[in-house]
Parts: sequence; C-alpha cells; structure tokens
Amino acid sequence: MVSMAPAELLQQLVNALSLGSLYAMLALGLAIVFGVMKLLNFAYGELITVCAYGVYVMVSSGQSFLVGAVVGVIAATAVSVLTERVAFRPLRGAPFITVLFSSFAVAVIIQNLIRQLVSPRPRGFATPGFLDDLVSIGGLNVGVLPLITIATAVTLMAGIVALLQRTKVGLAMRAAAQDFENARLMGISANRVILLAFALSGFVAGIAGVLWVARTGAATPAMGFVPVLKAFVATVIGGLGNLRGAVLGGMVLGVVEVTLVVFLPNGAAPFVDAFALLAVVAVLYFRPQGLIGVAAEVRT
Amino acid sequence: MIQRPAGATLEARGVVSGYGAGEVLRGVDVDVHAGEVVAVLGPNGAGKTTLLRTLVGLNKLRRGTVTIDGTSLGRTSPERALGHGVALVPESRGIFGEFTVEENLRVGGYLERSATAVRERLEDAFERFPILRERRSQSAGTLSGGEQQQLAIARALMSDPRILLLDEPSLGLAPLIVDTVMALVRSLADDGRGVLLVEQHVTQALEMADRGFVLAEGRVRMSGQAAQLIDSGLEMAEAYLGGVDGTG
Amino acid sequence: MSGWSRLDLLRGAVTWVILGVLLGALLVVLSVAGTTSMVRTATNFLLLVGLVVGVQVFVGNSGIVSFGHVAFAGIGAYLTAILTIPVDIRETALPDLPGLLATASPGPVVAILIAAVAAAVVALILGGALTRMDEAAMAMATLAVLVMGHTVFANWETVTRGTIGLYGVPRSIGQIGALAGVLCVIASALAFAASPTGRKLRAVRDDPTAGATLGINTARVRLGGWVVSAFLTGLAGGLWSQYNLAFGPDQFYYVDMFTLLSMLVIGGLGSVAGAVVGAAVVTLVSELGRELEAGLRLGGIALRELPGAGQLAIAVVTLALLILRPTGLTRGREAADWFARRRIERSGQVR
Repeated sequence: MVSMAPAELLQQLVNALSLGSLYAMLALGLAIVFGVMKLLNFAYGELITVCAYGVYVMVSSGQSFLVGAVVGVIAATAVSVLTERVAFRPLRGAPFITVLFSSFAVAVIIQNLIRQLVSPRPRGFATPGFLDDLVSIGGLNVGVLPLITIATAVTLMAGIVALLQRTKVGLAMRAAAQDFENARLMGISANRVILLAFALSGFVAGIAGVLWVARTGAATPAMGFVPVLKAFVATVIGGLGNLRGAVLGGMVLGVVEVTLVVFLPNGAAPFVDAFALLAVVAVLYFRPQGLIGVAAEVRT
Repeated sequence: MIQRPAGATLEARGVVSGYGAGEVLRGVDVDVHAGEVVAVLGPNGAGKTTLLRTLVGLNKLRRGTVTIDGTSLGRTSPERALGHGVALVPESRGIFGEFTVEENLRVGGYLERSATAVRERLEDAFERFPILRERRSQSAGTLSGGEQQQLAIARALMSDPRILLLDEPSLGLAPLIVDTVMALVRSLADDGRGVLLVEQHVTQALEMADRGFVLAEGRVRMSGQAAQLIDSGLEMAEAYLGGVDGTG
Repeated sequence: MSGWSRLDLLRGAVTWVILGVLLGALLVVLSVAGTTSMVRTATNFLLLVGLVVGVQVFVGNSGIVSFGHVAFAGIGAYLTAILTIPVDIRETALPDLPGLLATASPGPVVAILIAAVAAAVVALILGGALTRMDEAAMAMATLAVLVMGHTVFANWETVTRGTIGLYGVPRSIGQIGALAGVLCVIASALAFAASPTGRKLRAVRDDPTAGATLGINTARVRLGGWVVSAFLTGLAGGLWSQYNLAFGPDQFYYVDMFTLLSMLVIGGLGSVAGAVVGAAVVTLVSELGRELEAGLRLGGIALRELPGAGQLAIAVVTLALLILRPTGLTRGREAADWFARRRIERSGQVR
C-alpha cells in the first residue's frame, strides 16, 4: 500500500497534469488534420523528431534553448506543410487505409532523411537548468517544467479555440471539418483550408516537441513513434475528429499513466502501455465514435 | 433592400462528364439567362445532378465548354465558380448541422470581403425568410425539412450569385410547401438572377419556369419554351424514356 | 459462390510450381556459383517470403492493411525458440519459465507448429472483436495489436528476456529447410485463396455490399482470413527463428512491419506471386542500400556514409506506388496468369 505525504501527492498531481497537458497537445495536433481531412497522419510523430533536431542543431552550435525552440517550431510547421504538398495532396480522395499506410511511408522517409542529413545517432543537449528547479507555491514544491507545460497547453488551446470560433478562417476550418464538399460550395478553398490545418498541426507539434525534449534532453531519429502513438490513443479514445475529445483523451491518458506508474508495482509499469492499446481496441469495438465524440464519418 | 445583381448568361456546350470510369453526361447543351428560370427535367439517372455538379466544378468537365458571360469557366472548382457568381444548392441541402442558422448564413457569405455587405445580406435573408430570423441562434440540424431548404437557399444568396443552380429544392417537402418553394424560385429570377432548376415535379416546375430541357441518358432529348413543353405531353413522356430519336 | 474454385486451385497449383522453380533455381545458382554470404542472403530472403506471404493471406484477400502481423511472427519466433533452445541453456537464460516451457523439447517441426497454433489462438481471441469493426477501425486496431505485441515481447522478461532478447537457438534448417518451409506456406496461401472463405473474402473486398447481396457473413470470412494468416505468419516466424538463432523484440515492431507491408504494396497485394515479387524487389533494394550505407566508394576513396539509404529508398518507392499504381507491380495477378492467354486481372488494391 503506497502512502504519500500531501506535498508529494500534490507534486505527483502536477506531474500528472503536466503529462496530460503534453499528451493533450499532441492529440490536438493530430486531431486537427483528422478533423478537416479524415486523415490519420502517422508522419505527425516525425514532426516532433524534426523539432527536436532543430533544437539540437541550434543548441549544439551555441545558441540558447529559446532560439532552438523557435527554430524547432518553425521546422515542424514547415515540414508539416511540405508533407501535405508532396505526399498527401496527390492522395486526396484515396481510401482511408491507403492514406494511413502512406503516412507511415512518409514517416519512414522523414526519419531516414534525418539520419542522412543530421545524424543517425542519438544526440543529447543541455536543457536550461531552471526547468528542473522547484517553485514554492503556497508552501508546496512544484517543478518549473511541469508548470510551464501546463501553462503552455492552456494558452495554446485558448488560442486555438479563439482562432476556430472567432475568426473567418476558423469558421472555414470548422465548416470543412463538418462537410468538406459543402464547405467548398461556400467558396472555401479546399487547398487553403488543408494547408492551414497542416500548418496548425505542425505548429502544435512543434510546441509539444519543445516541451517533450525539455524533459528528455535528447534527439533520436526513431523518437517520433512514441508521441504519435500517445496522440493516436488519445484521439481514438476521446473520439476521432473531435478536438475537445482529443484534448480530453490526452489529459486522461496522461493522468492515468502517471497514476498507474506511481501506484503499481515496478514490474507492471511497462504494461500500462499495453493496457492503453487494449483500451483503444475496446473503444474501437464498442464505441468507435470515442468516449466523447459524435460519430465521425471515416471514408472506407 | 433586395439586391438586383447584374444579369449574366451561363452557357454550357457539349458537356461530357461522369464518375470513375463511367460517363454520365454525353454531350449536353444548356443555357440560362438573367431573370429566367430554366427547368431541367428527366428520369432518375439521366444526369441532372451530375450536370449541376459539373457546372460548378465538383465533377470534372471532361469535354465541352462552360462560360459565364463569355468568360470560360472550363475545369473549374466550386470556389472559383462561386467567385464568378455561380452558386449551387445541392439536393442534400448541405446544411452545416452543428452550426447555428446564423453561422450557416455567414459561411455562405464567406467570399464577401465587406463586413457591411455581409450584414446587409444577412438582413435581406431574414426579411425574405422570417422563420430564419426566429431561429437564428438555433442549431441548424434541428430545423425542419422546409426550413432547411429555406436556409440552404438563403445561404446561397449570401454570396449574391448571378446564377443559381437548384437541385430538387422541393424534394421531400409537403405539397403545400412545394408551391411556396416554386414561388420562391420565381422570385429569385425576378430579382434578376438566372436560375437553373432541376426538378421532379414536372408540371409545377414548367408552370413557373420560362424554358425547359429534358435530359435522358446523358443527353438533351427535348428543349423549348415551358408552355410548349407542357403541351407536348406524349412527346415528353417518350423523351423521358429516351425514345424520341428511336433509341433507348 | 460456395465451394472451392477449381480454376483457382489450378491457378494456385501452376503458380506454386512456377514460384517453386524460380526460388529453387535461385538457391541452386547461388549455392553453386555464389559466395556463402549470398547464400545466406538468399536464405533470409526465402524466410522473408514466408512472412510476407503469411501477411498477404489476410491483407491481400481482405484489402485491409494490418499493422499488427509482426506480432504473430513474433509469437511464432519466440515460442519456437523457447521450445528448441537446449534445456540447459534455457535454464540459464530463462530460469523462471513455467513448467512445460522449461522442459519440453519437441523438436523444431513440432515446435514450429505449436507456435503457429499459439499465434492463431491469439488471433482468434483478438479477431473476434477486430473483424466486427468497420475496415478503417480494424486497420487502426491492428496498430494497437502491433504495440501490444511489442510491449509484451519487450517486457515479459520471464518468457522473452525482454529487451535483451533470446539467443542459443540451434540452427535446425539451412537453405533446403527454408525453401521447403516456405513452399509449404505458399501452398497454404494459394489453397486459401481458392477456398470458399478466401473467395468470399475477396468478394467482400471488391464489393462491400456483397455481404448483404450475396449473403456473405463479412465478419466471419474476415476472421477466417485473419486466423489462417496469423497461423501462417506465426509458422514463418518460427521458421525464421530456426535460422536466425538470436533476436529481440525490436525485430517485431513497426519498422519491420512497414517493410513487410511495403513488399506487398510494391509487388501487388492481390496475389501470392505479388508478395514474392515485392519481397525480391525490396530485398534487392535493401542490399543495394546496405552497400551504400557502408559508404560510397569512388576509385578507392570512401565518400560519405549514407545511413538508412535502403529504408529510405524503399519508403520512397512505396509512397510513389501508392500514389501512382496502388495495385503494385503484378497488379494482383498470380504467377499462373503471367503466362495465361486470357489476362484475368484481380483488383487487389489497398483499400
């Protein structure tokens, strides 16, 4: 039986919320593209890798982490847009499974290009020291990085909500997500909406990527699979094509993960992943629209 | 204040298009001018919906020409077609069910840059369709069939189109409401727009229209003034069965 | 629609002979005229063919991409290995194995069969749910199977030694054994394609409404294909373990899954011959890539290393084909049809 002092409990709660926020952001980026195009983009994970290497290249050449972060976000956004132009545009109209598998191909391509052009080896770099510090809030100690992660997530999501609900462009994206063809009949340019979705997705991936590497301090060519898997689990459980569901799914996944790791015996911890995937199968079987979602139409 | 748009002529010659490997339209000529209602009639599968979709660019124009006031639309896209003033109201109405009535209308005005113009057109829409004003903040998915049809047309008007393509606006509506819809279509043309109307209710459509085309098996079998078509009874029936020129 | 198709059986038999002759000839030529490393590559190629064909049985006939089949290969490989590793080595490497697993030594053939059955059982359990989902959901669920499999392989240390992997598997097959085993897999795959279940599965693949119009129980035929495919893939995995002797969980994860699927896409999903052609193309490209990765050499001067070149090339080719020619190189035609006068084109596209 694990017993915890209240201070430690709070710290773990913050960790849980922090991981949940990170996963929520990851899920959001994946869900944005799915919502507009009904495309589950597995190359999304590689955007995190691209961001990480962007940070690494900058930091290892003497720049500050902040500069690296900016470069990383820009790189992720740019690569996301590039994949749309080169790989996904020619595939518009292809069946769901074809495009899903193609996104894998794109992921492998990006991964190996990074191996060729940057480095095939894992690269470590120094993250700003203050991120590991503890801050005293109301007498309790909380980590700086978790707090920044949560704050970033909240800000980012508020920004995206504002974009979607209050701008004309957001209206266009929401219309396209509901009914792509009829959105075009309104004069909404298919190409522009899709481009925007990919750009936004890349931007979110970049931000999440910066926070991801701030925790790990390393960039590896194959690192992208884990984040996209988390995003995938979160979006399926929360409901595909449903941004709110994705965010909630991410939060739930993060919180449950930390909780289980803390309270389960050591040997069981890795199996948490297996359970998450089993939950995915269960959701797909019993409630394919996700726990929160409205039925999303997937082209088969 | 109802808009009086500049008139326009939409002309389509030799339109060939279809889905996948198949061909649905095999060379169709239609035209519609400012201020007139042109009915497009014919049996199911004749290609009426395909024609409207092709004119607006949802289906690829494989051969033939489409021009508006002489400007070639060619292989266009719905976005470009709307920019030239050609708006389609599809059979399914295409309402965004998760949006409110007002949001739906605003999306219709997406291409309009001037916020003033959008506001004015919104007012016009509410004037013309009072029920929409009543339901402006309601989710569009909760509207009845007839109300959704009104919303679909009102939304199309938000882009101030010169040519309106209406695909079976009276589909699934009660007979009394069909009359209202026909009257509405007439008023749209009286505003100065050109209306191409695909319809199953042959008599009611022809009574209100100026001209008509009968489409069967991807070709125009008959065309002429609406009054003539009404009088041509037997010939029309044959045209529907594709037997005018001995084929089908 | 019910019953076995004699035409397909004939086609299968002819295809089997053609493939057998081609693969056999390859082995003979390399054994006589090539280096030992070439023979090794060829044997590995054969074992890979076994795996791809196993996957093709489901993916090709149903049109649904499965991302999880390496998990079945893994079950086949791990269980076969455990049962064939000599008991004394087993005690050291896996001291906590439960009862029979620790002591049983049924010999390679029986071990492989047991492992294949195990894979089929797992597939049956999961398949009950998976095959009742719609296609897109099932494809996503197979992703879950992939990760679940890998998580188990990497963490169930008492049975698999986790990330360290297994070693000490005695080499019980050489080129001939590999060829024989793979020919068995190919025969089974062709037989399945001719069987009532296989034909009904393809009917549903080509026309989703066939379930309703032809009275085919879609879920059941999909389950049939899924389980048979898992059995054959598990078998191929077991065969593979008897030649490769040491492996770890990462051999059965998304990288290799992608490679297997690429082979199918490149060669053509719809036919067994397509799987073989695809495996050949990918193996060739990989070998070329491996040469490149070691470093371009121009006149004895070593230029840059090109890590991941092989994989990159395969992925680019796969993507290009998906865009331009989703039916692959063989367009879903079996080897028998290559020589047939009447070209019967089966659609076999990725759906």
